[in-house]
Amino acid sequence: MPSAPYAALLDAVRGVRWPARHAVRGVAAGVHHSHRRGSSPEFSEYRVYRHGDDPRRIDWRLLARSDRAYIRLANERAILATMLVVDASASMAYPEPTFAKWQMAKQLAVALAAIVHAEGDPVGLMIAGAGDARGLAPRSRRGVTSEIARLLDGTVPAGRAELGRASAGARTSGRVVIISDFLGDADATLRVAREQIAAGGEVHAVHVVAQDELDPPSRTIMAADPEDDSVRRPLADRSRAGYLSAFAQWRAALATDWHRAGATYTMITDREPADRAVRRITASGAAEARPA
Amino acid sequence: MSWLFPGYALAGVIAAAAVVGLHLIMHRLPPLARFPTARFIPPGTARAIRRALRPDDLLLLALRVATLLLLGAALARPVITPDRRPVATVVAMDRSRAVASIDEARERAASLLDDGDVLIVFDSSARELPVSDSIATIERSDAQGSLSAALLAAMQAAARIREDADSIEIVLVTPAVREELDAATDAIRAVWPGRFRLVRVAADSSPAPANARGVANATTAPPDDAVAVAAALWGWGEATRNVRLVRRGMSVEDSAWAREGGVLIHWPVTSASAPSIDSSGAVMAAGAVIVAPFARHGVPAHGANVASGQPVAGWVDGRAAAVERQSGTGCIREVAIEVPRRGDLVLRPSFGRFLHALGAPCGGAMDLRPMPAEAMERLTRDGPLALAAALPGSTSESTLAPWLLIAAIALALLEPLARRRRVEE
Repeated sequence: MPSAPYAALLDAVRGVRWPARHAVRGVAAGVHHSHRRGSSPEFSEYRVYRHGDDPRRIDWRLLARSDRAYIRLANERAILATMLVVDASASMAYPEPTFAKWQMAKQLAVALAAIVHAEGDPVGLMIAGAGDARGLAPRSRRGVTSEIARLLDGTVPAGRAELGRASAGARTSGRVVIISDFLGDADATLRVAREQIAAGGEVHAVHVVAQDELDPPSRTIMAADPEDDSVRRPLADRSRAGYLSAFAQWRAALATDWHRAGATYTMITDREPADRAVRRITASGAAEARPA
Repeated sequence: MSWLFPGYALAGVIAAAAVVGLHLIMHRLPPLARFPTARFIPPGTARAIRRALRPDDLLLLALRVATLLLLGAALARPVITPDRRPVATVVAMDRSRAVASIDEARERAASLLDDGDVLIVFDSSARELPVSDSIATIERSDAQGSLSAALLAAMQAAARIREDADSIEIVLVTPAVREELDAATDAIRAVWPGRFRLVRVAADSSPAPANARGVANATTAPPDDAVAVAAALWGWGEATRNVRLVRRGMSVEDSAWAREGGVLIHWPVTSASAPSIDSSGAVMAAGAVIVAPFARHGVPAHGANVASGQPVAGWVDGRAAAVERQSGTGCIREVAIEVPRRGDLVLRPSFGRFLHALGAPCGGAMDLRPMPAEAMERLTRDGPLALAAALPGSTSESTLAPWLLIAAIALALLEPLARRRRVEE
């Protein structure tokens, strides 16, 4: 069972469903619409009997009525493995001292893991921070949500994260959720995401932004990028407007790029209630599974 | 508390105010802060001007302000002074023979005294009356008063109490008669940087003691004694009618005679002590001076007190050549001057004047006439009171200044540490 800080959130998101955006290719039975047609009770359509079809699937009543042989087709459901890729770079450790962005990222990851696990799907974790990415391969056994929470709680965001490489390591999963502020290697990450989407996967970009980044405090500071010492700019009244405009433009461009790539993009602020953010993520781009 | 150099304290305050102003208008780098989206800030001037109603580096500001204030205070040299009165008074009360009523003098003096004030009593000499002694214990003296002695003692007492008040006033309670003035009075008066106040009491107008003995009566002197010859030659003058000259040992009868109001001049021919030859000696008495190579003797003892009387003649180096001691209503004058047997010293007019001075009535010739107006004016001289700070020996030491300087240096050493901490923040 995840620790107490997550208990309230998990209670709030209990019952939330996160259907796949497209029909999945999985073989194992699950809850998501599958590309395959099978003999499940869920009737889908009739098809003319072809040589090689299983004769036991012929609908004899229809044959009697129409004098033609048709077989019944039904929708199959499969599992969808989800990999959560969490950015643990230094830029996520903001604002001090609460590190609210990192706290939000952890809560989103744990809540989404719980939702996926509740649907019987495997869920895994990849933490991209200083050094090599580490994490947990997708699994559906009991306690995986707690393991994910434990791994995240034991991580301190620092250094630069190779998010693109971490995302590439999660390519085998049907669904990849990238939880990041995208201030690192956003282009590489997007490239990997495109590849994954082209391969039939599902990618969700969850953009975590601090409220202080959207609306900086009015005092004059020498702003220093925690991931690049060479970047130091004075943030004062006269540069504030330029900053707000540039940042907004970048966010808009980021959203457009992710949408164009075929992924979902959701921007979450650190002050938004986590359960509401989770619902927005799970609801964004939801679509019925379409048969192949 | 007072400041020896208050300008430095003011300079410290001005400098501290300037530092506060500079901290409010800051031309410096803003504080460094982590900001992940810093790359979106337009590149601009690193040094930003900002005006703050309240500086955020309060510790550094406090250190700098405190350093400047302490340094200014140290250079200004503060002196902690006890509570000072506006005016302290030194009363010099005359108890000499010139005072008609000692009660009047006591009463006038008591009315002028307040807590912390000083009372000087004087006749031919002056002394401070201890606080424990009552003014009622002061008795009238038959000695001649000396304003010079009174002024000196009063000024010394004033210097001693200078820390108690901002100004010092000296009040003379005296009949202010002529005989109390001498050649040193004006010079002593000129030293005092303020005015004197004169409270006049009645002068004694009683006549001089009755002199019923007639002319000088030289006794026990050989006929060829030089002094006896000079006394016969020059006489003792109008004021010396009651004089007995004794050239050898004094008898009981001589002492009794003196006690009854006479002026007994005991002028031994020789002395038991070995003389010292004064090659160019001079001896003076009441303005009369005789110059000759005298053989000096010590003033002979009389009874238990040696030379404890009032000097009536002195050598040029200030040592007593003759002293007068009161005896009953008269007096005995011991003279220690060996007059040469040969020579014409005693025939000189200066010797005659000297004899007249020696033969003056007990206590010297009385002149109780009022002081001349010009002398009075020189003595009292209108003007402000003397400032205590102007008196010699005023405190110029500041015990606080070294500690303030040490504190300022300590804060100055802490300032770089605070500044470095500020930069790191």
